[in-house]
Amino acid sequence: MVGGADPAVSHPLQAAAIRLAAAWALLSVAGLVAGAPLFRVALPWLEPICAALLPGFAASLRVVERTPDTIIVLSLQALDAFRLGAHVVVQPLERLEASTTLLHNLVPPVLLFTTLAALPARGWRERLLLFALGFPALVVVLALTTPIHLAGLVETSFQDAAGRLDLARPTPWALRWMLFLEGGGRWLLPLLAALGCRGIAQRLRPAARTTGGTPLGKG
Amino acid sequence: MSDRILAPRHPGFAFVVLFTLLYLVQYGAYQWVPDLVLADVVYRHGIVAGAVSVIEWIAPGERVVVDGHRLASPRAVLEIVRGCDGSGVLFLLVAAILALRAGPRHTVLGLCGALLLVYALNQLRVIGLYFVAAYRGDWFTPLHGYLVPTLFVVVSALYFAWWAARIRR
Repeated sequence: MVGGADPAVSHPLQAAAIRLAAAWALLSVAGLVAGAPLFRVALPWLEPICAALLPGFAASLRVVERTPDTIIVLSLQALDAFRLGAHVVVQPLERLEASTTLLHNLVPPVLLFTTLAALPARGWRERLLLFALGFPALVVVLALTTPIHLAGLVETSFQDAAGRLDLARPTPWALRWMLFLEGGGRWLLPLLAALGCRGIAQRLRPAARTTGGTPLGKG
Repeated sequence: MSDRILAPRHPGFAFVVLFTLLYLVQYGAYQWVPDLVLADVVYRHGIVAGAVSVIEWIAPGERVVVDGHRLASPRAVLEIVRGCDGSGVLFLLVAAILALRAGPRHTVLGLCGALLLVYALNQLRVIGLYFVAAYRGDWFTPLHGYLVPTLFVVVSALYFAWWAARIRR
């Protein structure tokens, strides 16, 4: 296997384990301490995604710091009557809300950067490149998780309303995706994103590309 | 599938594709299992009963009982539902182990180890979360929704890396 980037630790597995544990601990604490202000940076690009997922509603996102759990709130205002069959279930200008805990939505970012820290890299430049690539990857990962999770919660309420009205309503894809995320997809996506970052980093630095094996290192 | 077909110069890409497909296959198959079967059979007997036994052993005063797919006591009720069974992490581990395409012996040992590890960690998680719910409810969300899931994935990744390194020797 390729030696790790840390000269003080000779065994690559030990080095990766140390990086993994240290990154997880640091990022977890960062999320607990500064998760709200960090996540607010993402709101401007997540809000339009929420709006696109729920046509017919004006959407806004905000982070609400409260005890015991800080939450991300999606506020919707119906632009027109929302119908299920012949029934108007949401009146024009009526407001709806869906929320999810902030910490729940910090899991993908923590896993993304923890994995980036653990993946082998040839030297500090490639390590820096990996982390730099992590930020656009984070944009994609968050776009595929938080807005759809919130839209899925809204769709759940619509499905419940349809059930009470005895109406057959196909399961919206946002709801299916939300269930996929809750079933493990929100772990899979950051792992794939991190592996993708490594692939890109290796392409950008061809001299450092491994000649075989897996994303773990040289075979 | 082989590296030649998928990506002769990029075996890492083949691993990622296979890993993703294997995960999705497992996830899809899991969706076909009826909720009642999971709740009444797998969770009740496979998770809850064992967790209750351990809690009774370490803290008999809890008076925790099996209530279907719930752990119930005067202090707290913990419901085991889809996603609380360690399946997500197990699918990741199984997919990674199979995608590495080691020899049959190493693969079988890796899968057995993965199953034991995920089961043990999940039981530990359920038991720990019961006590958190019973005595420190304000810690429940940070632990259940944030720290424990990420730690679960990290420990599983370490297991995979350890197993993969043993193949290479």
